[in-house]
Amino acid sequence: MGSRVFISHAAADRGLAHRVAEAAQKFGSQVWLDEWSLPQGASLASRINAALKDSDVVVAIVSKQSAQSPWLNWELGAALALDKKILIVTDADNLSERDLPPTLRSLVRVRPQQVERYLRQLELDLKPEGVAV
Amino acid sequence: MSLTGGEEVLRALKAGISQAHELVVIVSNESLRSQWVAWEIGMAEGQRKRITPLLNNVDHDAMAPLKGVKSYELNLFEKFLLELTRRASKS
Repeated sequence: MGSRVFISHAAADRGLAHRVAEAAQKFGSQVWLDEWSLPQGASLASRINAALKDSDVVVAIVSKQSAQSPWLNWELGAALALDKKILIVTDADNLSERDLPPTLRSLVRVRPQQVERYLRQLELDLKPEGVAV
Repeated sequence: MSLTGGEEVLRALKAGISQAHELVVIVSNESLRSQWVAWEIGMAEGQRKRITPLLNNVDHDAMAPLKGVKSYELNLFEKFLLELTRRASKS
C-alpha cells in the first residue's frame, strides 16, 4: 500500500495541486485532495481534521497568493498538532523567505518535480523495520 | 535543518495550546488577515480543544475554519466566562 498524502492548497494554486496529486497517484500514493474526496456530514473542520489524522504526509502547495490563506494555515497548524510530516511544494521562483508567513518558514520546501523523490524516500521510511526490501 | 527563530515560536505555541483546556479566539478584521490566528485555530482543532470565537465587529462565519462553531459577541464576553466557570467546576 502506498503512503497516504493529504494535499493542502488554496483555490489560487489549484492547477499545481492537481499536478502534484496526479504525480503522487501515479507513484502509488493514496491522495486526499479536498475537492475530490470531501465526505458529507459533520463540520468541514472536523472532516478535514479526520483526513489529516489518516495521512502519512501533508503536502502544502504554497505561492505568494496562498501563503496567507486561512484554510492553508489552519491545516498546517492542525498537521503540526497531529505530528504529521509536512512538505511545502512551491514552483514560484520569486517566492523568497520574506514572502512566507513565519508559520511556513521552518518547514521542508521542494519544487514540484522533487515530490516523487520525496515520496519514494517516505515510502522507505514508513516500511516497518526488519522487513526485507 | 537548523533551529530557526520561527521554529522556536511554533514549538512554544504548540506547547502553550497543549497546556490550555480551551482556546478563545478574538475574531476581528485584523485577526482575519493574520495567518498566525488561523494556524493557532488549526493547532487547537488538531489537539481537539474546545474553541470559542469572540466576535469583534465581524460576521459569525467570517473565519472559514470556525464555521458552525458556537461564538459570542465580544461584548458578551462575561457570558462566556460564566459558562467557562461552570465547565471548569464540573471537570
